[in-house]
Amino acid sequence: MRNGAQARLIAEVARMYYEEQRTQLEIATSLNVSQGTICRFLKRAEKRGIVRTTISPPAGTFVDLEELLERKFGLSQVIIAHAPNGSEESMQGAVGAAAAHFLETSLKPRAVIGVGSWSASLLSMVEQMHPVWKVSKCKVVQILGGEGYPSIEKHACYLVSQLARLVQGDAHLLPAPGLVASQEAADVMAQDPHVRETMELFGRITVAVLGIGSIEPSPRLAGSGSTLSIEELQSLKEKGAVGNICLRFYNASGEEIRDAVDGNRVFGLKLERLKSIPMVIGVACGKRKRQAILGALRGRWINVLVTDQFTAESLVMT
Amino acid sequence: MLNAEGRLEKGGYHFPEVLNKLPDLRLLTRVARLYHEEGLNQTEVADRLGLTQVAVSRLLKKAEKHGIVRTTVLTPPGTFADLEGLIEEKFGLTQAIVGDAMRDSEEFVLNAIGSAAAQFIESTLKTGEVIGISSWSESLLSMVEHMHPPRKVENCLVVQMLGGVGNPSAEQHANRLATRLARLVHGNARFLPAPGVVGSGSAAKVLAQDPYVREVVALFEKVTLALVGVGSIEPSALVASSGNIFSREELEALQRKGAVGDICLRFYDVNGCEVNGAFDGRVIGIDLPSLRRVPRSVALCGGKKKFPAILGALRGKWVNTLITDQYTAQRLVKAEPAKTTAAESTLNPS
Repeated sequence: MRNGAQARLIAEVARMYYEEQRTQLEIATSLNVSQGTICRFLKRAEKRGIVRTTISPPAGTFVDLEELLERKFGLSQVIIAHAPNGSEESMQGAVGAAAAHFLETSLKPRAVIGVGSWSASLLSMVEQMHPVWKVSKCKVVQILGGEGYPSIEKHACYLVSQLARLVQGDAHLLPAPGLVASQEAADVMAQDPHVRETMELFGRITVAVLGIGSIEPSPRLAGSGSTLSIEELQSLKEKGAVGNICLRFYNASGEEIRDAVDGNRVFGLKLERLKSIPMVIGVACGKRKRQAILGALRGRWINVLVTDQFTAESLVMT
Repeated sequence: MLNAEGRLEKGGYHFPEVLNKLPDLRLLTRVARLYHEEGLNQTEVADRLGLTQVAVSRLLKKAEKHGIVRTTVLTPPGTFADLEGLIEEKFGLTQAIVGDAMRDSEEFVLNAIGSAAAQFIESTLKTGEVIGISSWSESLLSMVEHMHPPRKVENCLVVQMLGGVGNPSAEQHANRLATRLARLVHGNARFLPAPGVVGSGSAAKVLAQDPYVREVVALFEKVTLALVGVGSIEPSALVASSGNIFSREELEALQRKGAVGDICLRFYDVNGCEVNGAFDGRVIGIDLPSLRRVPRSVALCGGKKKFPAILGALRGKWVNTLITDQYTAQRLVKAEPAKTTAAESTLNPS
């Protein structure tokens, strides 16, 4: 009984101190004991494990959802941004800001950053990124050609050079189309010294930042003219394509579909190359992209996902 | 965004101030959690999140300053062993757990119940359990806020036993109990993708046919541990929070029939007998007889305002475990146990 009474007193003191935030002196005075006793009680409370530290996540953060998704898909990190509403614009803004923050805080000196070029989310990212001063000697490498479609070409160039500026690094552009007409055309392109120089860096990429594309063309792509022939799109659909990363398509379980589009027509990093890059960050959001994101996760093409809470909720439901 | 020299101009992108801070808050929370709850040291946290150790140490300090890190005090088990014994015997409960509230006010009572419930789950949860929760309850929220992930427990499933109530705003999504609890028990969450109450019986039938809804409802009978709050009938508060799915008239009609409280929107009177009302056939969630079949059905509740509702829940034997505070416990000791056992009369619907 005496033990129980003392345990209760210790808990009481701890509660006054931690929950009511009273000082040790105040507690000592109100209980009419010395301050030394209060100090001793607090230590004992800790030792007996009746005091515990917990974390209350602030509104607008989604750390539980992040951890659930990490476990569910075996990702090394999930970052969920707070989108003010479910519109594509709001999601893209939030996701871009979160990706920018993530890159700012996780970038290491001498990083070689590979950037997929055809993505509105990545554009939103560089637009919201702050300059990173603490790192040096970084390289930014364009991993998918962007020429041929004026709007994309401009964006790709802006994306890569702007990111290079933000990390005080060198920009390595890939001055080639994302899709070429044939294998022969690709071979000719690869002879270009600038192209070759950039492609030689593919093997040294330490961080890749990519958008994830659905099979339906995004407004951005549709606006710039279709990139794939109707037959190719049809064939992709028949083979179960749900999404693409750098114009390499995959099905719902994430397996690459190789024969729908002539693989040599795509000018950029090959999908299986991603597996040897230590950090592959996928930045994507929106209902339209749900299947594409799921495929990318199941195929383990990325190991970091940056998305918004609406998209994240829909991913956890599967 | 770019000026003439191609340099980035400061503040080129206009984004609301608050949202700019969110990525920081998010990182603080992740870091604090790995360190304080998962017990990783600073180097391990740094490795896990790809940060430097210096950054981790700085972020931990910041987390404390922002009030993300809280220290709470648990009730040493057995503090109120006498009260617990009396209540168990009186209401035929498997277990009563009484937490220590500093005062008989809502905030302190919630704290006491939350920390007692957290300890209860941590020490009794087994691998593979299916945990059912009522969709919204401040007591349950307090529980997850006090909880640390129990060690050596895996493969638990958290099932939402009642559809959503209220506006599914972003904040509510964030606080979704199922998600938080699932993370804590290293398990998965299954949401009930439907509103808690729908406009008509026919709408409820349509929803019940939905394959996703059916799948989750089918899990109800697999629940091994049900955690529920107890609601008192307060028409004004309920109407306000439910997005007008309840009308004041309907709630007042329930009150006239003697309803004192609800569990998962199933109403009962002070003796625990179910009260029929306008919501019959419109609630998408577990019913009371099914709740009673759950091996461990636990009510987390306390406070003066809820006392009639708590008493009704115990008299009806809708739950077999109670987690409360010492003030509520003392009131329960003084109250009469059930006169007529409402339980028996409604037990066999077939």
